[in-house]
Amino acid sequence: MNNAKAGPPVVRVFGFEASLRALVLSAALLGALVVLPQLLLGRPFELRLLTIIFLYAAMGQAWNILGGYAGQTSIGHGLFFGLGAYTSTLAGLMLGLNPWLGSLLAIAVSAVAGVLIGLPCFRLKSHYFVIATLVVAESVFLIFSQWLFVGGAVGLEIPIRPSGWLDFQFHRNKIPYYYIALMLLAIVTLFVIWMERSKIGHVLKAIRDDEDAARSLGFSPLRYKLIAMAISAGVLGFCGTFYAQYVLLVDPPSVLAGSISVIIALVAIFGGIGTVAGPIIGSVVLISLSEYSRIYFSGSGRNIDLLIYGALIMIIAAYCPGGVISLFERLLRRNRGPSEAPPSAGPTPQQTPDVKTI
Amino acid sequence: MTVELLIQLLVSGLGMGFIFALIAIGLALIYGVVGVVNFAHGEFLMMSMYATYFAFALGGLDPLVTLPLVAVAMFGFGIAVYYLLMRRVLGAPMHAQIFATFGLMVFMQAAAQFFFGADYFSIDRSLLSGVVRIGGVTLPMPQIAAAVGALVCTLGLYAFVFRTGPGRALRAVSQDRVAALTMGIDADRMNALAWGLAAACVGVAGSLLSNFYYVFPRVGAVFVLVAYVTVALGGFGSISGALLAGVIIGVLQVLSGFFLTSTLKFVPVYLLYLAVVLFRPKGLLGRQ
Amino acid sequence: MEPILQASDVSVRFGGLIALSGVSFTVSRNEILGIVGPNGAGKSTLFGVICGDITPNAGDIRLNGQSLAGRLSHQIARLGLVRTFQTPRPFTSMTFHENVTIAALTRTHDMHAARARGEAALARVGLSYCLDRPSAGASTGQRKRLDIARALATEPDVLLLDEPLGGVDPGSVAEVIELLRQIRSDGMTLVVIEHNLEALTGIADRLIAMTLGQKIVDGRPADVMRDDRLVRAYLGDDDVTA
Repeated sequence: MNNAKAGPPVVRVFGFEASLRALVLSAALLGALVVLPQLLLGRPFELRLLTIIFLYAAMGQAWNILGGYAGQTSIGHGLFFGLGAYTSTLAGLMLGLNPWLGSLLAIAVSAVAGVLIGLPCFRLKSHYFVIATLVVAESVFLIFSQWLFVGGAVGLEIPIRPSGWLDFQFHRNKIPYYYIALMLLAIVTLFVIWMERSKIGHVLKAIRDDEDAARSLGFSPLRYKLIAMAISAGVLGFCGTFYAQYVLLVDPPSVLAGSISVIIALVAIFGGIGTVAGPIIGSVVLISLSEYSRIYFSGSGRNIDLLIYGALIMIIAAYCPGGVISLFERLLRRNRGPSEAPPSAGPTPQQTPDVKTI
Repeated sequence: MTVELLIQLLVSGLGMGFIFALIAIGLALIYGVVGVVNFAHGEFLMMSMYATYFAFALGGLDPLVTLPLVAVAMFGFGIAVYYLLMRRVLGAPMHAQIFATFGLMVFMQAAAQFFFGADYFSIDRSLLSGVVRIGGVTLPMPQIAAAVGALVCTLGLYAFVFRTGPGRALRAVSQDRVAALTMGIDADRMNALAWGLAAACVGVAGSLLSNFYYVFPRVGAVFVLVAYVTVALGGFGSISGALLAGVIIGVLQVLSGFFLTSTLKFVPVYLLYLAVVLFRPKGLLGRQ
Repeated sequence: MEPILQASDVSVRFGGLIALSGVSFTVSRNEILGIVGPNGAGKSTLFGVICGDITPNAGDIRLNGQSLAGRLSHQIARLGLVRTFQTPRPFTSMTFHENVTIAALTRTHDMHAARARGEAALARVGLSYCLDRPSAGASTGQRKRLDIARALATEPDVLLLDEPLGGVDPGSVAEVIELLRQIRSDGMTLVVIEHNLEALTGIADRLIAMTLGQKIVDGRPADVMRDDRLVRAYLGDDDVTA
């Protein structure tokens, strides 16, 4: 929210302002990322790493819409990821639906599911809501593990097709997945940037800060939360389809596991809840950590990364709830001097009535 | 479905119900006094189960003997968690509070798997082994002992909270923190006490549970969601409510396990949670 | 002329506690109505009923002749009836300007227009100098004014003010009173709960006195202030029973 000061040059793009410097930097970064795969030929690990980083960054952005901007902490959001994966896969297997069209269906199904869950659950106070999201996600996981229609515990396999964009499958050369994930991240990020500056973004932040005050002004918190949920869930639905087409196998542990929900939320919170760059930074750091530790500690299994995650979550919660971004902001502010005090993008400590603190 | 089978199921459900209640009471205590939900509560349970198991497997100590030791150790652990972690997030935004205990949960679960592996352990021989036969009904001794132990512990906590000085102070803080402060009650100390007591309760539950339940890294996760439901159903802040709710849920999950499949036995319990918080937020005996 | 706001026989019970009992009154257009009474009289509960946060056990509220029964509080706010809170509730992660801009967004979708209207609202309450300041560190007086500015930005017809002078330093009281007078002369109707009786009587057209959930006096400020029942309500009287 820059009120005109003599400062860095500003450019109007698509109807909103961006500092020229930010625009140039972003374009450069994007350009570098587009070119990068050519340098990574023959390095499948790094290619895969980046692809997964983009995917989780996009998912973190989606989570942030509900969790950061609207202030509704959900630790069951992986549910929509899994729903999306199953929807497009089932549609492909049973109706022969093209995976791209299947992805649209996945978006719709996830969004609707989100709204259906949100309708009763958004009435709940924060802690009750969090538990409700856990409970719903866990129930879906258990049910899908038993439900033969979706393959039960074994899951569903996507029939292998020759590599091609139409079939959304690429085998020997995985670079197209990279580009799709990158584009996904770019689109979602642009959307969040737009949303942050729009009416919806502002109202969501107001609801996050003080729902009752927002209501007293004339906003329906339920309606806005449902909008945030629908968008958030829909994006995750597409991500689920992407993942299904990436690994060609959909089963409960890989797409409906509770850990996915944790990582999605953590990526956003670690990087900076309620910020645009937060999920991206969070994903880069955490996913790299996870993937590299998997190599070096392969004996002990997947848990060294969860061990580190757990420790990181606690540290962030206790010492830096605003995430890595807020750390940067603090450093910048110290260099710039105390004259500028920009409002932090994340929520500030709030004495809400249902939390018993002084 | 014979009568004997039904009785066996009900008794088993009742027994589990008392254990759920004991676990839930710790949760309710923390929420009532400190105002946060302890998402790592299940991991406290897991920790006490591992402690009991290793005392048995490595030290040959019977679980009955280690029970008081585990309770005391968990008391200390709860207090440590409060002072080292929770104190810092009391004034912080909601997501920080949630993630503090959530992080602890992830960490403890991963640590258990890292150090102990994913294997399932069990205590096969203890003072409480064997069965009891009444009429045509066979009841396993460990479950009965666990039920009795949990009930005793619950009543003990009830007595503490309602009949002693510190207990009254705890209740004062949970009802009106500011007023309690003006009366000279050290809320910080009370918070720590609440955490210690809750951890001790869960420690007792875990110690009793390990007599007949498998010990593995994710065992906490199995029980903690149920504990949330129990607290919500019974009504936050009500110990007797937690007891009643625990029993209902214990029976419900046992019957569900029988009529559906054992994987799905908690799903009706989860549905019950949603129904309760949506339609009767006060719970059965809650006061809010 | 039809009153702009009308309460008929409103009763509210919380369990065994009677918060409001048969309260009725009317508010005329462009009037300033003051509500006084000791703590626990039910004044804030009455506000809660009027703006839809509390559902009464009996009775009805009418805005411009239209019953508000069954309407949600955000819908009532959209109809032009907005309240402020006893303890100010700014959106703490935002600046003053962002706070009022959000309020203005109830009337327009356009961000630029909303920002302009927000700025105007801040100017009206004399907080232009706080435009880009974070609302989190503000003083009580500033927060109270921000609350009012926010409410104004929604362009209401009726403004319910819950203790606008609470916590305001004596030097600023006159300014706030003057602000209320200006708001009224711009066409608004005000209902004000206030403990500062001296300030309130200077500006109110009518006063309602409440105690123990009931309305005990209703009339012009001078008459009400002299009324025995009001004095007894504030000072307590052994003969008065619930």
